[in-house]
Amino acid sequence: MSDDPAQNLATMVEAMARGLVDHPDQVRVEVEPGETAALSLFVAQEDLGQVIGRGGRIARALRTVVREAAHQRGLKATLGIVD
Amino acid sequence: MSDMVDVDTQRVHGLLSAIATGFGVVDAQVTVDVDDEDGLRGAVEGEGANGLVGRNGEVIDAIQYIASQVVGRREGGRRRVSIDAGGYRARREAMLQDLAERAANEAVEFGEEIELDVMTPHDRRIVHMALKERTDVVTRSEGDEPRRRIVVEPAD
Repeated sequence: MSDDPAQNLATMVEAMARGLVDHPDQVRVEVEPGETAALSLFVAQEDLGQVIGRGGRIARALRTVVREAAHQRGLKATLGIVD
Repeated sequence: MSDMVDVDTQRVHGLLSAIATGFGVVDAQVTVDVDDEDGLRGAVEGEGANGLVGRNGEVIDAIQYIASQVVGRREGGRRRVSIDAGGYRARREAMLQDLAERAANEAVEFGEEIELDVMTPHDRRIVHMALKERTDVVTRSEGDEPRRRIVVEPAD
């Protein structure tokens, strides 16, 4: 297991997204390192609704979790959702 | 429950383990139990598990919401999911039960309705359950989400 904190965040996002979608094999997370790590979550287009949720509620929950996990590790991170 | 492996239990366990790793919890212990009402109760313990709670529980509530979506979507009915970390919900449940008792006593003493602060459905349920056995008060919820709140009134 990698000890790179940003990579651990990416692994966490992948696990959350895989649980939410119909096509877990198409879930992918890219990390752009930097002062603020930029995480991009890619899912199948037909699964977008399942990671965004009604009124964006799931996306908001995912971002809350990512922000706090980064904070606990002394990092900053953003989460973008891409189809 | 049958002795069949519970798929939802495994899913929630995997989710919580990944989240504990993401938060850097040291020696994380993840447990998922099924309660009497077939609801799932997940918990993360370990050094740093308190970090999953967040201010006013906003982070643990987000984790619980994600877990409920992971479980809910393949089920016919909705299964209740409760997620705890570092004993936060147990402490909060005790606090809400205490608040409920005090509101009930006040309602009886003054013969008036007592309106509580806005709460999440999860917290309102704890208050309703806490006063269910009391015959001297009744509880109801008023208002629309996310401003819904409990009113405690003396029973007739």
